[in-house]
Amino acid sequence: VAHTPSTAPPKVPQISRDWATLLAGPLLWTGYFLIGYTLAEFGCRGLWLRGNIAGFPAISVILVALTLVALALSLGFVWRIWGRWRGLQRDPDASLNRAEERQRFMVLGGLILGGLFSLAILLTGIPALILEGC
Amino acid sequence: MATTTDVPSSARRVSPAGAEESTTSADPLERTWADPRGIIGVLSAVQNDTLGKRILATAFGFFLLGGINALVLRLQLTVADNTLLSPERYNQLFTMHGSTMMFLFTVPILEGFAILLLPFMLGSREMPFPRLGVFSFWTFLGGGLLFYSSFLFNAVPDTGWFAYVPLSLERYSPGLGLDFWLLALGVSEIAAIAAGVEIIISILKMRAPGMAISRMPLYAWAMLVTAFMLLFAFVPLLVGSLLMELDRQFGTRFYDPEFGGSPILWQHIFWIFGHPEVYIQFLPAVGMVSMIVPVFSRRRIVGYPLLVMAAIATGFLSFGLWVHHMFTVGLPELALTFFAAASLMIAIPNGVQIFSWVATIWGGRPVWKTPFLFILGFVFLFVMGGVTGVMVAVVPFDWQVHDSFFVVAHFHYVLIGGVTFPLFAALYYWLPKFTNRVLDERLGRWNFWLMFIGFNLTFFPMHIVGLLGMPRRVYTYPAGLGWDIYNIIATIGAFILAVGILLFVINLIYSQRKGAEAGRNPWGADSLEWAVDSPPINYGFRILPIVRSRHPMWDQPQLDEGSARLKALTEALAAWPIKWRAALVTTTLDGQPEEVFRVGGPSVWPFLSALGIMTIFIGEIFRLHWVALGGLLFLFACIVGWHWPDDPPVSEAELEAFEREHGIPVRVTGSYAVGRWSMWLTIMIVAIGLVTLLFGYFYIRLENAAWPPSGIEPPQLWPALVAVGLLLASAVAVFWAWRRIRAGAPGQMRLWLAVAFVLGLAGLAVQVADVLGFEHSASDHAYASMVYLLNGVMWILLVAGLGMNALTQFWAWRGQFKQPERRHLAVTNATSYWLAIVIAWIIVYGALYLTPYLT
Repeated sequence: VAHTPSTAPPKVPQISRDWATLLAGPLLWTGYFLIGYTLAEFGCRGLWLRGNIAGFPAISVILVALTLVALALSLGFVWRIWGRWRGLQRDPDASLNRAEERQRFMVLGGLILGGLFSLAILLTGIPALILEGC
Repeated sequence: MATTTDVPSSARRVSPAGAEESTTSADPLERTWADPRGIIGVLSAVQNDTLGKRILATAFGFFLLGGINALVLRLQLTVADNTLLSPERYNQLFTMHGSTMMFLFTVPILEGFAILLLPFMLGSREMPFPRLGVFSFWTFLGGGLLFYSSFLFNAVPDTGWFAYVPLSLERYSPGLGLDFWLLALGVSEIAAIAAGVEIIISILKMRAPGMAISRMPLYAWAMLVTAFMLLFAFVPLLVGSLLMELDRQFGTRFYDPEFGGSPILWQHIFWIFGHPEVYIQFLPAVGMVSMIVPVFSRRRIVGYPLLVMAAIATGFLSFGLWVHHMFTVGLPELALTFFAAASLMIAIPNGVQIFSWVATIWGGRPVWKTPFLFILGFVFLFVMGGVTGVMVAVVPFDWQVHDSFFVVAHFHYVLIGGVTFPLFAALYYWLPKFTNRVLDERLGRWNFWLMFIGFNLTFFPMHIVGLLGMPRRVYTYPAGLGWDIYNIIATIGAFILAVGILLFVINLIYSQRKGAEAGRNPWGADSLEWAVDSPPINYGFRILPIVRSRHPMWDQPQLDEGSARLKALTEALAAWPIKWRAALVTTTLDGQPEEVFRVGGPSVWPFLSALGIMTIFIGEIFRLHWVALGGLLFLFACIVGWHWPDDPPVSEAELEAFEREHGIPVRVTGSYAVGRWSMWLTIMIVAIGLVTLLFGYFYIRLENAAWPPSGIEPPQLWPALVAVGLLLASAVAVFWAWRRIRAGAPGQMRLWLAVAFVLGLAGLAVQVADVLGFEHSASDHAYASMVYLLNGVMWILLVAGLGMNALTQFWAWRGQFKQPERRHLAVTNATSYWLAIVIAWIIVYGALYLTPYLT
């Protein structure tokens, strides 16, 4: 066995950063989803966002804008995580200690989840472009 | 990602760490971990395998009861215009069937499996809160029995497992039936939440040294996601049920549209629970499948990271699906699209899982044993259920088939195909570990094929008859609509399915008498539970394993190999704290030793606490409020008894010697890390409950043109501001008390806690006085109901904080905090709770007092 668990103290102690990397995509989608749904439900009941903006229903315009902002943020996260992943890949240290192995796992996970939830944001936002208001 | 195809044969039979020695009652470690005998032993047993088996047996019993309900329903529907059941009895039986399967079978049995398996699979000696697990079991059993006792009182609930309002309100469902549904199942929901907390902390903090989260078994990952989902799903249901019970018993108006309430609010709250509930059942099954497939394919799983991420993605997405049960309610179309999108998206992680299993099987050398047959059956059936799931995610299609038998077919393919089949695979796979008997293979094959054929005969025709227009939840149908033949086939299939299940029971009994001995690892499996004896000895591992691989039983010929320091620690733990139940806490991400702590031992307090809860709920069902009050006081006394600190079983000198030698803190009065996690989760549960209440508040606001309604004055702001000011001052005092105990000054801590107590009490008094001046009753309007409810909840939470404060002062006065570096966990937790409640107070009262002016 090349490495025993305790020989190497973790070189990467940024635990909260690793959790953030892993869960950035899902958390962003959750926020987007809740805000978007609340706006749609309240807006369509006539409490908020009545009227038109540039000839389009205000609720649709706001939701499209929200989608674009969320998508930009999500893709930004993915880009950053991708950079981190490439940095880890460049590390020629073939014999990873436990903390490094775990970090690679979480960064890869962040990448997968970031991509998936970017797609989820896009898919959720498209109907606002197509439907005429509520 | 693992790519090795073959499992090294030399690794199939390993020498399990420490499990090699036969144990006798003379073994001091065994004595330390054993449960007492006799009736007191039955009531106080805390061993995870004893507890897990009890939960499994109880849940399976409810499964058989729910199945009998279903058979009677099928008999009624076999032919047109049947009169076997009256419409009322039919309604009662489908309500009991659905509620039993959802609340009393699937969720509990999956939690039972988790409690049974996790300590062994994670290389630990116990769950972190064995007594909480025991409490969870007794409340589950009590709730289930109470639910079925409704037959004795001829008060069987009859409004479906979803209990839609207004049908479920007192006006349309008088009598006790709905109270049984709400309160008996409420007890079981508390059990589920308690189990969720236990499972989360077990997985995050009690793994073997070296088991970083990237090496965790996939079952543990699935259960981790599931346990968080349990908290996020069951707490809203409890809150929603509370509102309904208040409407039924105390005349509030939360769901009454005539008085400003909203029936749709119940649907929202119920399905915020109800849809994730499907995945709460499915994800543990996914974890089981991911453990079993590689063993019977004789190769490592394909795509470990993808499977983990699929589980996490499913956990998040499942909370964005709830409105797809409400597509026909009349919500704005734009709002529906959010849920349609999420419903379609969730097919992606589920598809990834399927491809991963298929690829593993494809690249392996399958061994066609019974567990594997059930897995293959699962893959086939779940894909079918998944495809129809995508269909009903499309809004226009759902409008066509909503409330038809097509939907019945869909969710049974998902729940029986996707959950029950993996459960049977798991029973065949893991029971030998706990009985030391392998179930009979021939009977197992018959069991599988009868279930598989019976299931498809039952539920496939329902797709067709649903598309032909047959509605669900209607007790009979006229002849000549073309539905007859499908119903006859479905009933025949149901009985074949029942025979298959009966065969499992026969197999279980037969194999206990004549089954082959299982030994430690009958399947040549890769995970740690197969390293311990079958059945496991009370302490599981004598020497804790040191994990260096995702497949320790395949890759590590010696499980206890590791660095000198770790080896010394694990060996020391097998010898030194022999008089008390020592367990290792490890770091959340990397699995490094963090603390040694004393796990709770056998105790009757959890049983008595469950009895207290039962008394409260029974009192409420029969509207005997004084009985409920007595139960509450009894429960409070039990909780104090449960947490009463006792003297450490070891001297300070011994503790310090061990800490010096191994460089790890020893906490004989409770783990700091585990205690902190439990308090964070408690705060999270409170937060979820409050967010649900605020969601209800704003949703009802949405349903009303004016807020507050005409005839009710908006509240004055100054009393709320004074109360908030006093509470903020108390938060500062509590924080200062915490600082003083950390500085080693328990006397000053007591002083500041006393200041905080007085300030908190004053804030409460101001708020109570303000509400006493409110001149409307809770029955006047949903707004008034909300005012009383939000105040009541916040007062209870605050009183709980004051109670913690008082108890902490009491213990400080008794000298519990004389060694603050070891024992200030109670103070830290009381501080965290108080700060959280003050923040919650500001948010809730901000909403309550400002909304009338701002919206």
